[in-house]
Amino acid sequence: MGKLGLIILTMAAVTLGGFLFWPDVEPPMDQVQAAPLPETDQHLPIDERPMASVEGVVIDLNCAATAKVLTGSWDSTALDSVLENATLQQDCVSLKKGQPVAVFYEDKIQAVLACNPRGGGEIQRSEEHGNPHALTKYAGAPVVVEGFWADKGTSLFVPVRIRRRILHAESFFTRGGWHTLDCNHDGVPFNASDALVSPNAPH
Amino acid sequence: MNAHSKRLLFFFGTLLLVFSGCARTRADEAGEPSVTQGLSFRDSILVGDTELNPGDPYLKVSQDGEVFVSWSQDNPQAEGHNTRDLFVSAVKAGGQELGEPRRANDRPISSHGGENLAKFTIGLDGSLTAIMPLVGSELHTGDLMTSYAEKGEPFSSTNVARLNDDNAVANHGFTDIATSPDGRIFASWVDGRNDLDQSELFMAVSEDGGKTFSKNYQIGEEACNCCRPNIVFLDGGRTIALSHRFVDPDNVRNHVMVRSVDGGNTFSDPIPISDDGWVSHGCPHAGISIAADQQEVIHAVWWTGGRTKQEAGIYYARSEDGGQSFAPRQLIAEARDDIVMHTHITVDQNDTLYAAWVNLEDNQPKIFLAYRPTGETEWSPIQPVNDDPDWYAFYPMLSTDEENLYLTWMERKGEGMRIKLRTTLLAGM
Repeated sequence: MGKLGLIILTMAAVTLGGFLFWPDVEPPMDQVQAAPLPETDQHLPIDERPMASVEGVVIDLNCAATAKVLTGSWDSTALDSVLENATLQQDCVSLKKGQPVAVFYEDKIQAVLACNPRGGGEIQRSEEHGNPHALTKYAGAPVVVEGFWADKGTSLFVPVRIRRRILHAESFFTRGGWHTLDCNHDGVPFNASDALVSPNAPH
Repeated sequence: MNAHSKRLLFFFGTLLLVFSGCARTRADEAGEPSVTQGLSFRDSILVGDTELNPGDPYLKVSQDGEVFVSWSQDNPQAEGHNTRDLFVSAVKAGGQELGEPRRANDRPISSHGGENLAKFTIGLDGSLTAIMPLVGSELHTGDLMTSYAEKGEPFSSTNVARLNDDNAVANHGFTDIATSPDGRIFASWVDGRNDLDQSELFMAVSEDGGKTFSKNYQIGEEACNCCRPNIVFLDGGRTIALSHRFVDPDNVRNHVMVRSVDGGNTFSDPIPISDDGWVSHGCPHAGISIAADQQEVIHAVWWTGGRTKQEAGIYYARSEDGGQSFAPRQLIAEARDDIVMHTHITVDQNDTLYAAWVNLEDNQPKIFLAYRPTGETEWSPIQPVNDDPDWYAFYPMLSTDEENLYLTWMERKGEGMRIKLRTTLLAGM
């Protein structure tokens, strides 16, 4: 690099440094939007709250918790084949309808889902895709779950919809790959607007 | 120094930085691809009836250099999951016009398309054979149908037949169909008739140019049940190489090749194309694309999520021994690890390779293209090809004739779908 190049590089570095440490009164708009949402969201009507998102592997919480009690470790939880005890391992290979479910990531339960839908309604695609309202097909799979925190202290999470973490481009950019989770078991998906109805409202 | 002066200083500093970055250096030249010319595409044309959401485009060139395009579009009278019609047209005037569309199906076909799209092949005599998926009564991928048309003639309902010869309610889908240099037509697909943990790969052969097909037979196991196979022919059709995505017990999904050296009667054990180590649960809809050149080198392009996020990308590998082994993969473009991107590769008469794929730019799926002349080891600079940023672009498909490169893809905007076709002169012409 010649002298001119060095001079240009030095000047550019100095001006860039000046810019970086130059205080601005107002942050750019994207920084404002990226700021964490305030706790006051809890006071918003539920259909005005932004849904929270949880990522991880769907696990059978019954198996995982039993194994944690017995072994003191989450080591085999993500594999969903929990113990060396063959019986329990076999029983834990796949998530069963009705078993408690959690989302597990980085050696930690990220969220305990408030329901594990049994499924119902029309099977929309092949058996591999399974019933859109059941979680069994996601056992051991990396997913993204959206919903609402009922209690962050206990990681209790009301799931509204789920998708696999890996999607093909068309699905990701059109349908988003989401499947509504039917927590009510009767074909009526969780609808945030229902929660707004006052207990005193007429039927 | 006040704020105004600081802004001025920043402006001029940035200007200098930009100009210094633009200056070409020896270091730049050393790392620069040897192919630097982008291809100049002609204006795109729309394919199909734009009122009927055309999608799932597919391209093929005949032995005498005639290019055809197929697509599916809505059948307004159809209901349920089989709601599409399949059309095939000749591509004329260097890609600026389409011939009269010929409808290939006698009943509505699957509306789900994507990697499980309907395809066709061209017989040595110019006849057309289409292969079409149906949604089954219980399953997303039900029966497969074939349909035949003489050269220049319409498809006839008397030449529509079911390809899978089981009567099982089982998965049959994600097909490929290709014409061997000896005139036989080979169809392959992912098959779930035996209700195993993983799907199998099946094949059927037509000895009469596509009118009828043989008994189905299994040619591979442990196949990803939603990843398309690809067929190429070597040695005048005596060697058949077929790629698919293998699934091991840990859900690692590496692409493999199976080979037949007895005209398709028996196939080898799977030969790894690349040990990507990508793990996927579920149905990734991510096949590989392969093509064979005049020297019988097999070229492969695919997307993988890799073992780590940093490894995710569009990769290329080649085999110079007819698919018995593959050289280490070469990265063409980085990509996200959680969005499956689709790829396609073709090779022209001069053995120049062309690869097209979907990737994200400004968080929007777009079609990208690069080419690699024979004898070169690097790809050309990557160029975007789709011409309307208001539409999302997916599923690129390539073909060539003696003069032109043909590239088609599908676009989506809201609930709407359409197909674009663009052409350019071959590289070096």
